Amino acid sequence: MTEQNDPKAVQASPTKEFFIYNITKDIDTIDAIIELADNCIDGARDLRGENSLKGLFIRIKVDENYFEITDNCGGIPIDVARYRAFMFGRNKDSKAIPHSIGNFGVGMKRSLFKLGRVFQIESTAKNSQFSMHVDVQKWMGEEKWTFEFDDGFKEDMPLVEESQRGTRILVEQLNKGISSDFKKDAFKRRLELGLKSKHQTYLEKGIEISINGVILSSTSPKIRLSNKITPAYKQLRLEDDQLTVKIYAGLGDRDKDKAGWNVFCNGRLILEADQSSVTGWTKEFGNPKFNNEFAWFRGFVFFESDQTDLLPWNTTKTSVDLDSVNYKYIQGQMGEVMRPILNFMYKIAEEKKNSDDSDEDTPLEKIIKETNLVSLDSITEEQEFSAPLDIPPPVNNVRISYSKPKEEVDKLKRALGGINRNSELGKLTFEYVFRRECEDE
Amino acid sequence: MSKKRINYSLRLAKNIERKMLCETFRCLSEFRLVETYKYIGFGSYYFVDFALFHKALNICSMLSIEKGAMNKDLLPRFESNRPYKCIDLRPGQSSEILPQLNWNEHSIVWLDYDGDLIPSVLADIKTFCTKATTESILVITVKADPGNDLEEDDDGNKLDRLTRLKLTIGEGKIPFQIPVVVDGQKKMVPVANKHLDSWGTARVFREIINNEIIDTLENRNGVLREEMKVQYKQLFNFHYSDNTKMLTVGGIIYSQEQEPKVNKCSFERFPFIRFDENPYKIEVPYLTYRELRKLDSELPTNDIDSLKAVLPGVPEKDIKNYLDVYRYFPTFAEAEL
Repeated sequence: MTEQNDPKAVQASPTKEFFIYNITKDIDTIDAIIELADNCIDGARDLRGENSLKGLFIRIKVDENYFEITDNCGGIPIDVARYRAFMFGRNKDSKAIPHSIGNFGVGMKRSLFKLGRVFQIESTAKNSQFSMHVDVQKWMGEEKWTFEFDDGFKEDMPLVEESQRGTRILVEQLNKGISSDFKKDAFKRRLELGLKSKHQTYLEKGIEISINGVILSSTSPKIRLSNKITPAYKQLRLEDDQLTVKIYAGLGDRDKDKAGWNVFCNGRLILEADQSSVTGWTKEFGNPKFNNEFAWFRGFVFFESDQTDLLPWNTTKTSVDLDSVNYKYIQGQMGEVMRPILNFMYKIAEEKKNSDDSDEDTPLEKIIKETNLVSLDSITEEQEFSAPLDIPPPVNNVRISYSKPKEEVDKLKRALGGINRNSELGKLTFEYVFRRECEDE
Repeated sequence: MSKKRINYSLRLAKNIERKMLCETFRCLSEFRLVETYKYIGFGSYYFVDFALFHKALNICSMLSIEKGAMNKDLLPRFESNRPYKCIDLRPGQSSEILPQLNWNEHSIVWLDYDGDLIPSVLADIKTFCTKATTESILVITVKADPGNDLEEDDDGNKLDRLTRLKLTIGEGKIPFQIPVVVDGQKKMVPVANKHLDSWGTARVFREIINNEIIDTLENRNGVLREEMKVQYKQLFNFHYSDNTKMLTVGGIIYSQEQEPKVNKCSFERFPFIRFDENPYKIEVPYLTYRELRKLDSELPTNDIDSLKAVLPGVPEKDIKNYLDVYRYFPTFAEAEL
């Protein structure tokens, strides 16, 4: 008896429309493209492991009429395509690709549905080759949920050389809004910045990512170090050593837009310059809310695991999963690590407030300027944040301030031989009068 | 022969630009009577643009946004300098005033900033592109001075032009690619510091402004029917320098269905109209009053050789420049009024 004839059967299966609508509505276009790049990066890591990714590329083309992503990152083995890559959700028997970043059993399809109505995939892997053409509209009208390889796919091929392996995905008949985004320079710029930050770890490892022929540069995270200021570094192992967490925190450049915590899962940036309670900026952890005094602060957390379901990310990889017990634990650690750093920055602010010359560097600022920005890899020993807290008490100075018309001030600066700073002029004029009125001839 | 040269403190290029804009605005009669437009600008104490557009185009709905007038002591001076009573004076920053306006009228908006391209300029562009009625005109003038190759910031770090621009305008506003000409071929390349030297800064600014307009309009268009989608056609891309390098860009916004009317305006009939990244450079000829008069009596003509014969010894470049601008060229004379 079929389900439809069964008077006891209650329909509970999803429609394809519902499915597509639901999986695509929570992801934006840029994240969808980054998700496709995640898959390329998984291929690259599968190929090279922890070694350099030099020689591997991900080439993205966005155009009013189509989207294309091509890589030489190993290709999709035909059985992975057949049984896993295009499944909605992961088969409970299939094993996760160790240490991957594109692995929710939803990523690639979601991105493709998000972008357009027709897509084509060609892939050559170690021993296999296939191509596949999907017309989403047509597919939605069909009963079956499977896609089909084009004729001529190959299995059990003699070993294909690494340089010949790779995948090309072409999406056409772009969805409403996508095509107009792809026309815009501003969109390409946002995509560039998104890819650069989300994949900074992998760019640093040498993979080449380009958008319409423009190769993205890499910028690796840096932190300040000197013999007086050392950043905090902590390494933790959770889940029977299955999950490694590294926490770095200290000072960077004074830039309120870049200050905050950066959280990575298997090298993929999930949170960037976060200044919210999610990363410990809250009373709950005994910390203040972020404000501009903390513009020096930089924190980096790296979650690494071969079992990707242990990583505390949400499915769109745009934030952390706050219900994850592992994240909750680490969040507390982050709150602890950051506190002495915030205290130090309070000191800088206080010192600045008491300083009689706002243009001049205070002793603590001088100490910061003597540090070097170093890459995180160069810090290998676990350590606490340390910085001098015993600043010399201010001399018994008082502050004089007054304002005068700019033209007159500029005129006097010129007359006294080209002085630049107002504070300098103030000091000089005070000393001038003091010599005349208070000092003996 | 009189050796007296024109007084360059009078900002000749700006004067020429103003008249070129005015001539273009006249074409808007394809859409509606030009006098039904509202003019929004920064009149300062002089209101030169207001006076011209009122006299030449009979525009009577006029709004001058004046930052300086926020100072109560200066307000009376601004008010007493208004040449016509139809000019409404609004003390405040453009970024405060523009969002407060009701944008029901068709407008000609000339935001003639005397400063650099800063985030508030882009915010004003966003306001216009989000709110202005179609068939309106937006013109933006900013300083496009490249500054020194390296300049120190407050902390004594030497920063190149591109770094400074990123800090001023935000990294996300730097164009992804800009058009450059290499070996006679137009190519799209990522912005590098070298692209910002000399007039390069103006070229990059034009891209930033253009991107902001396109980006904002695309967002506005998302919810509109095809025939109502708002298009932008650039008309102006002036480079000129009265002292510092200046850039003026702007154009018209219109709905898709109005395209035939836009074409009927035949903006391209004016040699200074620019639809793309290639600028029209307003060059002021160096000529004496006597030479100007002699040239005028021979014009219009395209025969440079005959003009050279009339003015022996005068550089051809100046004669050519004059041919381009003579209809807009001001003649100044000292006068007691």
